[in-house]
Amino acid sequence: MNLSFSTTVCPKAELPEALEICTAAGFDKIELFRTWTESSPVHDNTSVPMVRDRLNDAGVTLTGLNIRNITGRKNDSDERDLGYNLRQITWDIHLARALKLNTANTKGGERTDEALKDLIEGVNTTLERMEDFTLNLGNHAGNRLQGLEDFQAVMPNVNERAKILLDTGHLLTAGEDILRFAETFAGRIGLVHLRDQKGDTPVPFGEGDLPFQDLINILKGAGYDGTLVIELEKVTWGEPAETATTAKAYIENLLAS
Amino acid sequence: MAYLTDEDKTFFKENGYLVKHDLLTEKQLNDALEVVWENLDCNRNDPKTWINAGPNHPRIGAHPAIRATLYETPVFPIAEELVGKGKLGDTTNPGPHFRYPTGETDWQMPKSGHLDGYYTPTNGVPEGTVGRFQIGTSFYLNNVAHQGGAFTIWPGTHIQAAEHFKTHSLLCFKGGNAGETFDMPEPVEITGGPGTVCFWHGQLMHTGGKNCAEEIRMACITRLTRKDINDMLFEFPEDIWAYYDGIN
Repeated sequence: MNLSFSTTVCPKAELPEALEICTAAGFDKIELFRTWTESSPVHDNTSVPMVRDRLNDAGVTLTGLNIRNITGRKNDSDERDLGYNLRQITWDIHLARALKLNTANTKGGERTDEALKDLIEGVNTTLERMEDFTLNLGNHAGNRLQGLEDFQAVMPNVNERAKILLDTGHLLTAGEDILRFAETFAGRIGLVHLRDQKGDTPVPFGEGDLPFQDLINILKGAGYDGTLVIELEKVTWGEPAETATTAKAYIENLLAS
Repeated sequence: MAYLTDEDKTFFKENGYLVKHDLLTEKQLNDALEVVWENLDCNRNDPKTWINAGPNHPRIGAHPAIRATLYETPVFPIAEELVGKGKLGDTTNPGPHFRYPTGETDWQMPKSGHLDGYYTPTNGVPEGTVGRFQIGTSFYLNNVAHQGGAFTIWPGTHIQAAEHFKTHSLLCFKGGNAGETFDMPEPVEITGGPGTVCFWHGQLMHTGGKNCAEEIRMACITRLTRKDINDMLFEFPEDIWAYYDGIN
């Protein structure tokens, strides 16, 4: 397993600053967000080739991109229009490909039957169009993909190139049993976002409710050799680089034990 | 068979557009016009009914007579001469873009244009995407005179766009409105008779003028895209003609 830096620890930092924090914390891998953080590769004064150059110059490999969600709806009018939404998703996937990725992370829409249907159709349509590309479907509290039952409804019905992004923070927020979730889908996990929390409040790694060692043991047992993204969010207990360094060391110790 | 001279290609490189006349046969024009008039909300024989009529975009692009104006004429082969033989997709239908007489006389040269492919709330382009393409073709099915709603372009802005996007996001222009960023030259109104075709670079600033003439401006606009566009969607290489094999 390899460790990647998440820009959630510095959401207001643009890419050059985020890369400085990433390398200062000892990471040589990073994951970006299409929206939500200022380090997005979509930024008015930055071209995609500039993003590639900045990553190369920093000696940092991009491991993932969180793209827009498959909601089945237009985001400006909220009208149901899966085709419109998939054109956005496809555009984001081409952005990911331009950044040398063959995978991207996405989520679903609202917690409705309609959104479930559109998510399944959207994932399948997208992956049929995009050969040699995988999608990691992430859980998120309040999203159509929130917990175990949601994934049990979706995963048997989508293309095998759809994997699961197991996000510990959002499982904790949703009150889900993380270990049961991991055991159930161990063979289909494509990515892990690690965030420790007390309830729904992020805390330093090891101080919250996340059963790190048990989770890693499940992943090891399933032969998972992918990326663990160190996702610190709403950090109040230190500077970004410092807290990321500490969290990285914590996970490295667990992996070595 | 080559339709373009070296001078034509040089003109296109420098100005971002090229105009050719009489590219459609009389039969091709007549066949297309029959389809057009069947789909307009006005009387072909009564010009008074043409004023502010509609629709602006009749849904006839897939009709064989309309497709023929692009694919069974020199229009598509000329576009291929610029971008490269076999490089352009050939599934795009011509899009009718009609401008009806306004009945007004206060014509002015358009003051602002736009880049195509950008989201607006009504144009069908999904928000947060850009529909990039290599060559636009705007061809007239009838006579389009001065002040007649002509397709209007700002020469050379394609070079400014190519330079700009080397260091900026494709999404940086809301609605494709780059006029405040670019150094805008004097616009050129493309006029001509039936079968006049303007070939224009996919990132050339353009618009349609106000129609103060008596005729409907019957233009079909097609945005032609390389088959491998998805591999170059975000690329703006140093050589701005890297993806125009016929020119480079």
